[in-house]
Amino acid sequence: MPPDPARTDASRRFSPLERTYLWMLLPAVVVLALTVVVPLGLLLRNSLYHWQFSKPWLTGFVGLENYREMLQDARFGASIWRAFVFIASTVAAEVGLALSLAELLSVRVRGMSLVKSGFLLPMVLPPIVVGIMWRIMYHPTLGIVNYFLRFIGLDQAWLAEPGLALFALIAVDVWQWTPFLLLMFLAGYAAIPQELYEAAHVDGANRWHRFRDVTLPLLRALIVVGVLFRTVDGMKIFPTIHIMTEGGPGEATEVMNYYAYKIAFAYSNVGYSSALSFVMFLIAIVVSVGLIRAARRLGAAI
Amino acid sequence: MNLGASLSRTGYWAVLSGAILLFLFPIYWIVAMSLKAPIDVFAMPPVWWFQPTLDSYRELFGDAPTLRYLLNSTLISSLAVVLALLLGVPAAYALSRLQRRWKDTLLFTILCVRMIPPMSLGLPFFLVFLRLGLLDTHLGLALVYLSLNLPLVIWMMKPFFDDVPIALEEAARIDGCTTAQALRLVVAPLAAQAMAAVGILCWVLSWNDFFFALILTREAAKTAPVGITYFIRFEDARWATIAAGATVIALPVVVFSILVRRYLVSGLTGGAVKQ
Repeated sequence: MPPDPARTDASRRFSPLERTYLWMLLPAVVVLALTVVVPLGLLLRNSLYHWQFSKPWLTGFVGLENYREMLQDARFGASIWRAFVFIASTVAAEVGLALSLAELLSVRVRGMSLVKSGFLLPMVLPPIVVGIMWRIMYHPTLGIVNYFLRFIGLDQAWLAEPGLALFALIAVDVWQWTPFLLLMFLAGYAAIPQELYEAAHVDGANRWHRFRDVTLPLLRALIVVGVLFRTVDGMKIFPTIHIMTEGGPGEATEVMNYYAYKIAFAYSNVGYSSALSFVMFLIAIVVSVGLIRAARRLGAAI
Repeated sequence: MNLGASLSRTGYWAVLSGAILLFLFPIYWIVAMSLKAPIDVFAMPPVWWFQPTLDSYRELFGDAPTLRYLLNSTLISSLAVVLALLLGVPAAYALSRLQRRWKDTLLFTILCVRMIPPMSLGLPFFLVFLRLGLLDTHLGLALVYLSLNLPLVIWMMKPFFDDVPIALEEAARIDGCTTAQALRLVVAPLAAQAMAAVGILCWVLSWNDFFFALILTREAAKTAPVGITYFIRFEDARWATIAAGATVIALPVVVFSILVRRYLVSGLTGGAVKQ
């Protein structure tokens, strides 16, 4: 029986056993502090400096100058908008598709474990492999995607058209991550008591009503958790962009994350990239904390 | 069976097969490509039936560095996993047993580590490594992966320890075990399977990383995912060889993932979703 939480107060002395626990906890906390907190502190500090590898004579403290520059940087604004479009489209498509598939596949259970093993393949593949795969398949003249689309006259230079490249990347993300949400939702379906459906059936609910009134409310917490992780991972997207478009054509697929990378590692502007990366960190934390809170309110054990 | 039920049964199988085909075809296509002769790789219309050949794999490994990249990946991921388990499992256990109010805040902070954009950590890591001489070293990259793996280990192992009744340890202590012995003899054997699963997951995630390996290595510690892009840099990219490389890199991941499939969704959410 664990002690009553109300009686555990911060000023209470540690028992010898608890002191052992603290010693077990300490190394991990120290390592996390050194590898996460310290780098973030350095990032913040560097963001207050003018620091370019290519122009070392210009290095020096500039206060909030980099952040001011950001406000006027149209390319940064565009990259945030692209990241937003990418995340909103992938999350909407993945959640929608995964929910529909889960609704269809939840009916039968026999043979499902083999099917599930099949569905988990895309999400475990190394992102770089996914990028290579789709770059090959998107090849404008020799790729298999256009081979099939040519039958219906929809073949395009998917990665070379500024208007299509971001969409092509969205499609890849949907391909890789819909199965992840599907498996999550199927686990959620399995936890819904069958009696609820039977009761709804007795009440004369059709399939759509059953989905809307029974399934959806019970899956809400899980859906928010899914949205959380797809949003966070959407902000992090890097390898597929790097291998498929390098942010191009032009700047058509240059999302926030990739822009910050380019500023540091192509233009060697460490100060400005640090400011971009710090803002990105703040956005990621605010969005995550908001979504985690929302998920907890809905009863998710996260 | 009435007509309606058999129709919905047909519909069910149609949707299921369609979905599986859609999600698995790209994987089949790339593996098939790695087994085709150069002339068939980009044949248009595509060649569906072909004589499989291992030429692409021979070229992949004939080009010397491939094996070293794979070895680097293996070494770095394994080192990161061992360190993450050594530090993370005791921490998870301690967090499960401690009853303090700050515990939840600490756990929440650890979960948030999973949310940090890689650039926000990668850039300072790059600058520090530059100064400390850790750029392009196995140890440096393993340290980065350690910090990514630790939160996962803690979040996946803690609920597991929550389920191990504390009475078991107390009984062992009453029988004369020290705390360490109680852990080693009573708790560790129960945790072994979960630890193995978490370790494999961490290994897969480290193996899959591209971003940190790209910015923190040059040649000596270059890992396979970065190494494979070497074949693309040429004007006439050797796509069949690249497809073979992609298959080789993906193979251990696929095998391991199927082994730990029960823990996979949980692992990909940093342990936040329990299964």
